[in-house]
Amino acid sequence: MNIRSSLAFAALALAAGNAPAASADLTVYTYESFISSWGPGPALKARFEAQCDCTIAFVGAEDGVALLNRVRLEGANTRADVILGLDDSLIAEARAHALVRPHSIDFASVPMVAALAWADDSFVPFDFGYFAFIYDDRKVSAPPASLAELVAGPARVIYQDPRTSTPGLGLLHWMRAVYGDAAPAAWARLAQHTVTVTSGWSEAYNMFLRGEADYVLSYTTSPAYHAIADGNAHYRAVRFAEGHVAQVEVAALSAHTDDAVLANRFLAFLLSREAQEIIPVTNWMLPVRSDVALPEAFEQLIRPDRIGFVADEIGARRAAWVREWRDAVSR
Amino acid sequence: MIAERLSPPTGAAPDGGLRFALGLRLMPGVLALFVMLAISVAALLALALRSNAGVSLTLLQERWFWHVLRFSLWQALLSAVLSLLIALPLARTLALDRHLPGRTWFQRLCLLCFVMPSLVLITGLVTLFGRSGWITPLLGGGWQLYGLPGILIAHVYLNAPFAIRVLSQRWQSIPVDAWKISAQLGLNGWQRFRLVEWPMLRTALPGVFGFVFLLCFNSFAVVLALGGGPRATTLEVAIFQALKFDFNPPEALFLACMQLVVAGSLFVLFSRWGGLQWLVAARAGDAWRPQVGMAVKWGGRALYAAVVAFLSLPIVSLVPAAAAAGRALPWPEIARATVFSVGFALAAALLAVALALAALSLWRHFDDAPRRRLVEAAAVHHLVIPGMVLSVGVYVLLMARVNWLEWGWVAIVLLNALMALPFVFVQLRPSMFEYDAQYRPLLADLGLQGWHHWRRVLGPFLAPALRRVAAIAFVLALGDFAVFGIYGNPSWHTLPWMIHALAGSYRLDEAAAAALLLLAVALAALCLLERARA
Amino acid sequence: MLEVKGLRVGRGGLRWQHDFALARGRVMALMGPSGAGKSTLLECLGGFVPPLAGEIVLDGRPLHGLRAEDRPVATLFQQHNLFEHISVAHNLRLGFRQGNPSAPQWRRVVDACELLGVADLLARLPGELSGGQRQRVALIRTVLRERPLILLDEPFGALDPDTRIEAGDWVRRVIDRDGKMLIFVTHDADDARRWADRTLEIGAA
Repeated sequence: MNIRSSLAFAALALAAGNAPAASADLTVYTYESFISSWGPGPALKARFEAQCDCTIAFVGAEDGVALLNRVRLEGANTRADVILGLDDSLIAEARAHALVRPHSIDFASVPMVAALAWADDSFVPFDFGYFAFIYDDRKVSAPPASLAELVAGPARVIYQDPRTSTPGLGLLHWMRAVYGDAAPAAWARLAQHTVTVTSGWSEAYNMFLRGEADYVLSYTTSPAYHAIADGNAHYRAVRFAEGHVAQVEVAALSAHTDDAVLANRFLAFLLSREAQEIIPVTNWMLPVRSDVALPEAFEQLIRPDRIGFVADEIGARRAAWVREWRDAVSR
Repeated sequence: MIAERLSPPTGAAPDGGLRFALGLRLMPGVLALFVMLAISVAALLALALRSNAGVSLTLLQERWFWHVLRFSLWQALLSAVLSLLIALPLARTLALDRHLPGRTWFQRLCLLCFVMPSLVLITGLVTLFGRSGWITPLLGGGWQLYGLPGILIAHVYLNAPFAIRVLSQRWQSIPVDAWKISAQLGLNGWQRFRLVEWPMLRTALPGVFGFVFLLCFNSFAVVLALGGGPRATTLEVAIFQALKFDFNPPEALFLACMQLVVAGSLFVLFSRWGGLQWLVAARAGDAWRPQVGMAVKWGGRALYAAVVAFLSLPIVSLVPAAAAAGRALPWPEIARATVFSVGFALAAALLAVALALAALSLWRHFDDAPRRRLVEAAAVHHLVIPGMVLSVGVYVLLMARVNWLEWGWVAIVLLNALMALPFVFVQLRPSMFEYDAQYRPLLADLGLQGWHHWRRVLGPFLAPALRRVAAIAFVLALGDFAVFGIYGNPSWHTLPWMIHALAGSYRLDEAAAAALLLLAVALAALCLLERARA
Repeated sequence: MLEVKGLRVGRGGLRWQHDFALARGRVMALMGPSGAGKSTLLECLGGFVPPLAGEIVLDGRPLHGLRAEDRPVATLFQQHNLFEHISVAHNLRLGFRQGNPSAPQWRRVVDACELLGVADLLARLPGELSGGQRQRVALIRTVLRERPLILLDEPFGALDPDTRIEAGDWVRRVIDRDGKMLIFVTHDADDARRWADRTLEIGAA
């Protein structure tokens, strides 16, 4: 293939991949892995389009934070009808910048998971997960019973940078929930046996799988993935006595949608049993409905108690927490 | 010997009509210059205007900021020195040892690290040097990858190959007459180095050093992951945090400006130490090289073997995982992503080369140092502006007028071309300079100019250099993640993006397979590019 | 007709003034010790060095306002007369408009190449030629270009005695036949006697 013909080829390919959102009835902004072929996106799209007689277009940002920034940047110019994939730590900011508008869902009519205690008028949860440290039971025989034990002990730990990743931010939240103002000392203690802090989840998880650490920060659902996709039951989450912090992923109507009716229908669809059965095995998080039938591996997962701050508080204190962490572990 | 300044081609000023024709010929250069500068200025302005507060200076009072700045400089300096220490002897071996096996492939391998996703590099290095790494047992009991060693290893991996390529190129450009004279005068190795090789190195080394320094200065994911935690934070991490997590444009702007000033002035300093110098006319067809001593020869070969192993082992370490996952890959999606990746990268590479040529046409027209430096700054400054700042700025600037969902691919191509431009421009400039130094009077005498000149004479002269820089621009754009992250769209997914998405949902083996594919695509494209005759 | 009137040229701290005229079909040899400004005068005529004062008029038309690219002058430099990356034939063709000589023009080039013994080298790169061969190729292109004024800076330096005579005689014939004007630099009084109509001696300034 010479340069000229490959150029023509590329131009053709570009022309073929024409604008996705131009012709769709509903544009959903979300994060990348949600809409990949192995994520929940394609199945949800097919099911919803079959019942609404409409078309959906997904637009993927890198992750939840990038998604928020994108909508923020675009302001009134946004093409989003639905914003899907922010998490509870980002809710305060999305609300403060008037990016969303109230939905018409009545949570009372849905058997929601009790631990969520959800009653937000703008944001609809579509899945959630507890942060947890994962280990390999072939290498670790006596996992710690509490966060305090992990922080104190000599086990090698990898986690993510709270400045660049959601789980990292989750740990920040978790440490604060457990230690309160004593968190800096705990961070300093943890730093002594921290292998490294990565910018993203995948680097950390990959390093853990390659044997670099005994524990990696991830979700309680991680073992379910290994059990179902790899048939490997050796990866387990540690249950901490202090309780776990949760990440709740939410969707909302864009403040600038021009079809609120259809967008509301989509939010309601996300809460349907049908959708809630798809999401856990594709997005590897827990369903928000309590009446969903899940694969056996999900039954094996630890069921921690939920602790932590409310969304608005996380939003307000995040910057201070990050600084506290940074100073404690940089010393 | 002719110094950089050349006298203007003629004495008297051209008349009106001529000036117009001249102006027309400079149009592409002026246009390119405008595009290069306007986009950066507009992007920074757009960010500044987003924030009512303007640039925030509060960080200057924080100790943490100074710590980050110091660490950025320190690790970049060490990384650059180490990279060059490895690159210098190897570049010499490549240039002088005519029977070195696999030279062509090695040169391609040297470019692959530009396309390697940071996740893949980190994983690869961990597999080699980590706790249970392949090489770790050889390193003794006290070995600890995380910290400065990890950062330095990664930066040498990322940058030494580039330095090797550029320096061996310069070494090869030493005229054969100079080698012959030195042999005929019976100079010993040291004298030959001082009289023949050092003059070439002295002009090229500061520029290469500055370049590698900047690349390390801007490093991010690798520094975090292998640096062992937030102690090892660079300015780039802070910019990323400010722009992404805190969405604090004033702070991001401040940091970006700091980076521009600090890194930019250091780069200017380095490059002014160097400069271009034309020694002797290049003559085609003769390729005699001096015999080097046995010790030097075999030392060079041993180093060559070690570097080949170092560069290829992280790639090889992907194979077991990739082989396990090969069949599970979502092939239709991967195939599509490959097509788009190649399409974007090819378009960006061609655009980068075109921009560089246009800028150089202006550069060679100017005969005074200040205006030449303006052109150089316009073409090279993208190296110090974080891609994310540029991308977000342009996005904000035009989002009210442009539907990025539809036109994002234009930005992907354009911004990737701009990011590759410094590499292209800096490497084309010596060729252009040599050409002018050797042929300027002849060109004037023959009245060669315009398209005819380009097609018949200048084009063929530059062709090898053009292929070389197009290859670099191509792999740079092929590996792009930052720009696509802003303008990307599911209908035109690229391979790096796929790798990221796979790795982000537990599919690390599939990600390894996709990464291998990306590297293979890059390699195939490099072979094609280097074979294609203009 | 070339008229050089009160032409002052300088290089470094040195200054020279020249006044001479050269009619069509005439050849002038430029002689003088090294460093006497012979090349500087040629460069000034060719447009590569601006004059300090004075006039250069060619067939009634002043030259000194023209860029080197636009002067009706063909120059053989002391070195770098050939592009090293393109073939000898390609180099020769570049002497003509758009690098496309007409059939008769090319015929003359090929004839000259045969006469001067470089016809077999057309497909080669200049780097594969000897110094004398390179000199002859460059000489052929310079002399056969459609320019009324030919400037040759030491054109016969690299040639052996026989080739030297042959090349010089050939140049003289072309000048006579085409009615061109030639100025050439030489150190050899025999060259001047054999081919020049007049000699301009330049002393130290």
